Amino acid sequence: MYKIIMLSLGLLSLTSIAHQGHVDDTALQACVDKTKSQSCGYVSSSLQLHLGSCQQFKEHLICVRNKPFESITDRKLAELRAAGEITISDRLSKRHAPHDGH
Amino acid sequence: MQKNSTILLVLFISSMVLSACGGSSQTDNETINEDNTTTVQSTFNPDNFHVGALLQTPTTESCTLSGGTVTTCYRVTIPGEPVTNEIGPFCPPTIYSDASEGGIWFDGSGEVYDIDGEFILNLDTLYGSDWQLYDPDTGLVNVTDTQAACEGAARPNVAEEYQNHCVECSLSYLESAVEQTYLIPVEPVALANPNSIGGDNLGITLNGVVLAPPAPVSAILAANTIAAFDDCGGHINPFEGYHYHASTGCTETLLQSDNHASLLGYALDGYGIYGMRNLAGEEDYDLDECRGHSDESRGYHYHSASAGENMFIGCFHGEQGSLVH
Ligand SMILES: [Zn+2]
Ligand SMILES: [Zn+2]
Repeated sequence: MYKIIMLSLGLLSLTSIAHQGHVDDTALQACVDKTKSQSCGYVSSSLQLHLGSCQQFKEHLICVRNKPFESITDRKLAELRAAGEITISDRLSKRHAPHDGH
Repeated sequence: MQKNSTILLVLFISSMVLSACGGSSQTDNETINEDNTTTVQSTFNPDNFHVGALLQTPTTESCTLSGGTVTTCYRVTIPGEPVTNEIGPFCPPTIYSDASEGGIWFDGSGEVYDIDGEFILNLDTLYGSDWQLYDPDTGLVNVTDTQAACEGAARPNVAEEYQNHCVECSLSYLESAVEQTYLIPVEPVALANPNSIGGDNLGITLNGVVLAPPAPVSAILAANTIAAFDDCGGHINPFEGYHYHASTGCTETLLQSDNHASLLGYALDGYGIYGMRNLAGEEDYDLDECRGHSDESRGYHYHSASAGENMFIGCFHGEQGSLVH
């Protein structure tokens, strides 16, 4: 599993280099450092909260949503960002919290 | 024993229903119980497929599932292309094209984009300044419009000449027929721990197409390519044929008698896959990690994710059947 995680991280970083950070791979980032079946969550660029668990697809662990979509407000986004447990789409970073990362 | 007779009854009744309806049943497999209540089974039912979506009448045979269970499977052959609609369009011809001239794109981030001329024009904003999929002098979109270009762009290491292209292929590029045969359990065998989807196709649709695992969008985008999907969420790989990567509603065709989402196809473990939302537009709150749950009418079944999530289901709840090579 460790190897898989490292491979995923490697692929992610390669992709980031190729695209100068523009590819929105939030569903994969939500499962970095996690193992299969662990809970995960992310907020997409359209402010939809995705809650689910990490599942293996070939070499990638992807956050598979199993709760209904939840549209969130900027305020809720700020709360989630502060709690630090939910991955936030890079595309929302500039708009809502320029100094925050994940 | 009780279970087996129920299955036989289910099969018998459904075939009767179908003969009456001329082959296009709008209800699932139904069993009339002794107390006059009705039980609907969501396990694999050949009668639920569109006319022409099964190339031969499925036969049953002994099979060994992914977990080693020896059971009975249907041998199912699908045409590999939809019998309900035409394939495409995929890439728009120019940066002035409207959405009707192109398909859609999703990269797993939750968004679904119409691939019109404007989308092509603005890819540098979306993915980076090194993206330009068109000729600025003519406004023509760089489309892989030959077999060589399609094959060059559909490989893991995309040749430089095919980077910055909108990728589309034709079924005529395939060397062999696109039909595929699967063994799918007549009675699903639930697993104690779900199986991962992996990299293989995970099921089939009622209109005769394979359900693929998530499109490898990181690799596709790394080559500055868009492997365009048509409006139904499918595209053609020159080595594997046409396949769906997500459900956009085209295949959710078998309406349910209650408010439940429509059936779109079956996973290789024999469980049904339904649309994401019920007829009132709501999602379920009790899905498991595979995106499945049970109800009294259907037993265990899955609900597809949205197209923007670039997937159908999260894992297999049951032991899978297999592709027949
Ligand atoms: Zn594909
Ligand atoms: Zn359901």
